[in-house]
Amino acid sequence: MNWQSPGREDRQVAWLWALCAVLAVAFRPLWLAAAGYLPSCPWHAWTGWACPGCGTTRAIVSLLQGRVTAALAFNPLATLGAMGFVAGGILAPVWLACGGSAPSLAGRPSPLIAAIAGTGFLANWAWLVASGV
Amino acid sequence: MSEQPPIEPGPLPPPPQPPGPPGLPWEEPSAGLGSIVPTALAFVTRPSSAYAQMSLTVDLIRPLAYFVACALAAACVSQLWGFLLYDTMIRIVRSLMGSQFERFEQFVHRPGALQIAFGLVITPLVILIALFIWSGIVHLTLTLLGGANRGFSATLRVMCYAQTSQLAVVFPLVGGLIGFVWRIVLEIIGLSQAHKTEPWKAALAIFLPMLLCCLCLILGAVAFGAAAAQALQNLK
Repeated sequence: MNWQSPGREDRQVAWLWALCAVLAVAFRPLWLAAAGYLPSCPWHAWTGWACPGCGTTRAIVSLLQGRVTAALAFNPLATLGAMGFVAGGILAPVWLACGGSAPSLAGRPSPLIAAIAGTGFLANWAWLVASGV
Repeated sequence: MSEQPPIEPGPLPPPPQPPGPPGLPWEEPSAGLGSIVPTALAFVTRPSSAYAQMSLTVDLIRPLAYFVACALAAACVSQLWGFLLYDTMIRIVRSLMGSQFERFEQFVHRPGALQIAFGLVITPLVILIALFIWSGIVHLTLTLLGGANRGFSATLRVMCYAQTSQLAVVFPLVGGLIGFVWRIVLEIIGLSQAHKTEPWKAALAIFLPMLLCCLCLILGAVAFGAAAAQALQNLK
């Protein structure tokens, strides 16, 4: 990841991120009402094993109800991703307005970053299988 | 009468640059709403060259506005089909679900004018959130595969124009499925063009998140339209 001086496009992406984060929180009643109608995981139903996305709906619902620990137990990666999405959306425009640099996700990642990403993904999946989510 | 001094030959002016490929009609500086139609036609008839024409420097508002326009048009057509073909759709769903349909029957109602109007406002906003999250997941995967040769905004632009596929909802009942497959094709073509990467990396960047993380989410998203509509009716 490279850090560079932000351009007009970076600011637009930051504002779009902020808009999406605010909308995602503002639509809380809609997510909570719709979650009850979503089907259960077909992969889990067929195999009895949790898929990497299992527990995401329950994690998001718990998060929207303010129960962070329960959300982390349902799906840690999805919970952290959702929290990062909202927090990043709020912070990104402020960060750029204060003169912060913009990250650039382009090019090949270092082996260390790739290893951390892969390990995090597999660890999350292992947790889901072990905890029987 | 004075004589003019001889003009000394200066450096030759640079030769005129050959004109570059024309951009998308929607991205022209003076483009109006009418230019959405030829732009959509370009992505329908020749997606590869349309993505090659796509500017990676034009204001990001342009592709985002195109995305919202396509989402809104698709939502309008979907609502129209839902209203006109309500009985047919219910009959098909009932035959597919069998006795399980009775569990949901109490929540299923023909949408009223208020629900349709509310749905038309909410749908583009919900899809905008989905666009940003999906673009982020795909860009992250493409980066891990070493195929992201440009920044996140290039991926975002590709995803915006891939929304053209949602115009497939003009085909009632099967339009959603056609649009889903068509969208995948457009995204793969667009990513390989915008990031100048191999098509297999672009395809993996689309399919890996679907297979590893989002299988349930995608199946859920297919059901989400109906679920959200039912939830809205219960909220009224």
